[in-house]
Amino acid sequence: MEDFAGAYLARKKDIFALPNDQNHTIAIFHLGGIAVECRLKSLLLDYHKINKFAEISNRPKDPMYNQLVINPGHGLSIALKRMSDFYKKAKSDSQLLKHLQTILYPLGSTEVDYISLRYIPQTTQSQEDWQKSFDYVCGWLEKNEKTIV
Amino acid sequence: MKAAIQLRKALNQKFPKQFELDIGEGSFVLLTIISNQFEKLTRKERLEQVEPLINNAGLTPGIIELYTPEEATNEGVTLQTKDDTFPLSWQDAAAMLSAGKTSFAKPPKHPIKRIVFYSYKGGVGRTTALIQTAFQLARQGKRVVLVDMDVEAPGLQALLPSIGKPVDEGLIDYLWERQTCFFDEHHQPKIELTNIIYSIKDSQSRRDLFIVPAGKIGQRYLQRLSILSTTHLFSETTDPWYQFEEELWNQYQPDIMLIDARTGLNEWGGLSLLRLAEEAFFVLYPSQQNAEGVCFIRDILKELNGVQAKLVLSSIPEGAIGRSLVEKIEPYLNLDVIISEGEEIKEDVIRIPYLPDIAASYQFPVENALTWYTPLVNVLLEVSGIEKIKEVLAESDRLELIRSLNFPERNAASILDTDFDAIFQKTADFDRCLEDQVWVIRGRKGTGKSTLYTLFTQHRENAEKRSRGRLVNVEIISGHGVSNSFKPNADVFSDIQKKINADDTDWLSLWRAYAVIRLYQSCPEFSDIIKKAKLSGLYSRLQYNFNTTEYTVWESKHTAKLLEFVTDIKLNGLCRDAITHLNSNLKTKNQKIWLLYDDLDQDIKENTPWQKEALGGLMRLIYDTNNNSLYQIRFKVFLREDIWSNLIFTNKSHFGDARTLLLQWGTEDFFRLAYRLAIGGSEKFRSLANRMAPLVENTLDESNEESLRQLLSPLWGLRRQKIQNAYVSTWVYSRLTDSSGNTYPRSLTILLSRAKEVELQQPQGKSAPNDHLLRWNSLTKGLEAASIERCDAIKNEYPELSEFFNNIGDLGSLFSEKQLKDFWQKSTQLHTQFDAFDTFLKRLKDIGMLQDKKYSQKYNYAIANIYIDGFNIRTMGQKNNSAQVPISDA
Repeated sequence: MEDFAGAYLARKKDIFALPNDQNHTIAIFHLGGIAVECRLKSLLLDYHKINKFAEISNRPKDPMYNQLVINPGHGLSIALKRMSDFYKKAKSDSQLLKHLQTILYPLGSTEVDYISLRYIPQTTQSQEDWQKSFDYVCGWLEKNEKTIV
Repeated sequence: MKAAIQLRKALNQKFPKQFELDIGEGSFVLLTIISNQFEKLTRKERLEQVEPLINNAGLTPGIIELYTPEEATNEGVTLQTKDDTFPLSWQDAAAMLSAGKTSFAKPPKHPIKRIVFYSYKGGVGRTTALIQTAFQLARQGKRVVLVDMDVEAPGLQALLPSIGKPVDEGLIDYLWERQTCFFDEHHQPKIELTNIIYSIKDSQSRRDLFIVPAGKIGQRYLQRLSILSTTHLFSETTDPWYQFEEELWNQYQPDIMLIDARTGLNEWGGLSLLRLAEEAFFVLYPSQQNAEGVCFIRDILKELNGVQAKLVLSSIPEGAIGRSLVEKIEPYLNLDVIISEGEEIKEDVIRIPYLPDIAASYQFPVENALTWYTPLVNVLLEVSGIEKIKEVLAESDRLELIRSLNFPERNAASILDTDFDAIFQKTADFDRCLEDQVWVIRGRKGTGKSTLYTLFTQHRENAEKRSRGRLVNVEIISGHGVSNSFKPNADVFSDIQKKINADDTDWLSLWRAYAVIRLYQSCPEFSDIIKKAKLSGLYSRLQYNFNTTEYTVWESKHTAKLLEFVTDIKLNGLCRDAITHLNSNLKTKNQKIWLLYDDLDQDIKENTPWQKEALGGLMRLIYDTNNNSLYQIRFKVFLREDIWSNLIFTNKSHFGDARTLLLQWGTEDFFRLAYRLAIGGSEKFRSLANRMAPLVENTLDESNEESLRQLLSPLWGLRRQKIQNAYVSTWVYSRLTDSSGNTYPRSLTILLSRAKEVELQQPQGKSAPNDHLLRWNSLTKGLEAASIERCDAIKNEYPELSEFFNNIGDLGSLFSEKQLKDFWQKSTQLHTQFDAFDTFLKRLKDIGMLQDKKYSQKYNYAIANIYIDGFNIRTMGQKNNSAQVPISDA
């Protein structure tokens, strides 16, 4: 069975285990995206008080209450949108939205997303900005988890 | 909000049902699209298809996820395109709007109209406005229920207390029980609707008003309120609120529910407005702290639910302070403005002053203050009126009704004779016309001068019907006009003037002698008076030459005799004496004689050097008679306005506003005529109108502008755009009015006839308006026809301006004085007819062609609206009204 919370922590560790040089930037961006994806999926299950996807939401007062919660795949914003209270908060913070965009499209908005990145051999893109975005998104999710889930 | 709506529309066109859109802080677009249009495209190419739409809407591309269906399946991405959520709070509503969504509340299953009274801040008179409105609605025959949804500070039960039965439970208790308790065959609800509703009686109308209080304040109330889940009160049709409404309808059948809403941005305020309001009043004190919140909420309500709340400025301080407050606040209220006829029409705001009677009152309604709340009542009655029209029209055959409309062109004779009761419409001037002091009745051609002359001289019975007893003891005689065939015509007057000129006598005597002849022929007593007064020389001549049994046509000997009365000093004096004796005789009997003159514009040749002298003579006779205290003999001359304005005679200054009457079709007269034409021409329409407003035919002349507009709304609609202060009736009136404020009844007949023809050719399915018969497009076509007829009429009326009329199209609808001067200079005809430009200019203004554009820097004049279509004039700088299709017809 998928363990999204565990996967999140493991992928995060993977990132830090990789040497911090340009030869591994793509791997860092890719794994970082997957880490956030896992984090969101784990939150999504907790939020709807379910154990796995394709179960019915148990969160009263939520618009998805009594509806099937489907695995959002690699859609980071879709995952966020399926958590109404989280999503409302996310939309109110333009910084989060910008950083999330960076995680989703690490090489820029016109380039491929963090999943398709795995087919790209190298990049000269700086890791520094991405790291800031990654830290912000992870920190933000952690902080808001306390008030929402 | 508008940007988001624009983007959603664009996406709907390009990727229908293939996207999920939202807008975050900083106009940041969150968009996911799954479409096969992205097959074989790179991310960059996909973005090129989407980003321009975002940029065009003025938004910032943010997280844009673009998938082909295959990619989406592989990555497990799905869209939530179905959106049946309704906003339950202001936050929800704002979020929906910012994502470009709109909400369409399902219509309720019952016909109760829900009206919400809301205020952003408390203490502004919201509940008072609700109560005062409720009483007036009850007096208008409506069954009204008042519901207190100001749940955190309920006050309705204190202001309108229950007599006898104290309030123990209210709406909150009812909703709580329906939401929380379990029901089955053994467990039925304990809080019945009858437990939470009470009635009070309006002492004036003897009608009941039903009150639903929030509940009895206490621990139980607070507990129940705190555990009520507002999300599940209004979501499903089986939710508690709808159970309440259904029971209310089944047991009480109210027409209108007035809801007192919670203030501010609170959840309950949001619920009552967003979920329930079909109409809303926003009550506010004119201060900035109110304006900002009110505008925000009003915008949301309008954009999301399509409900445009009416603003009610309340507790406005008296005098200059209050005026200044209102002036200062209005710019901040984001009032809607539409452009009509180049003018801005601003949305109406209801104003209620600070009313000490209300402040000091412990009992409602406060009778002295009721009229201030009438505008609110009118808004609701207007709405219910339109709904009633819809109801009645839905039951009728629309096409059949339109076919039955009939607007034949009627001449004065038929109006006064066979069609009098159905068609004749007296104007507001009619009563003034009956005053002794009014000597000259002026008016443009076609304004009904001859109709009035004929009414008084030939149809006395009918004249009395509309005169409210003011014709008692008045004998009316035609001094000159079509009512007597025995009269000098234009040729004869031409001969008369030559003799008068040659003998150096004057026109005053001529008119007096002519009056004596008319009196002799029409008033049998006059012969006795002359005989008794021993005015034998005069009597024998009258008897010999002007005997009505012998002469029916005016012959040359009559001209000669008339002139003899003038040129012979003795006879002239006898005429004067005869009038004096007649006056004395009338005085003893407390009787009066009116001598009416018409057709002088034809029979006294126009533009001749003697026209002014001749007409001036008649005026001097009138003045002279009055000056000699001969008050029992009164003259009334019906004269074309431009002839009067160019007339110069001694003592004209004494013919001021009190002595003359400018005959005009005011707005109300015009509306009444339109209504009479509609019901007078079609029995079917008449019965439809009677279902809407029974008995109104008898009181039509007392109806005010507002009720007349409503009476006409089944015919051509009420407002040009919903809630806007721009009415169809007013538009029709203004488009048929020239720059001198003259409107022509005939134009209305033509407009309606043509509009009917066009309407019959229009598709009658769903696109046809459901609350009126003649739609906007039909009316604009009718207007064109009316304009063409008016232009033909003015061309015939003023042949000396034919060159102007023929080439007016080149000039355009707006022009400077220099352009007009050049036009005049280039035209040989105009140059010959009018030796000075100023005379030409004055003439154009006098005949109602030209309007001053005082506030335009570029143009000095505009052509009056009614002539635009008929003369095919280019419109410049003015809004083309035919293009402004009202929402209801679009």
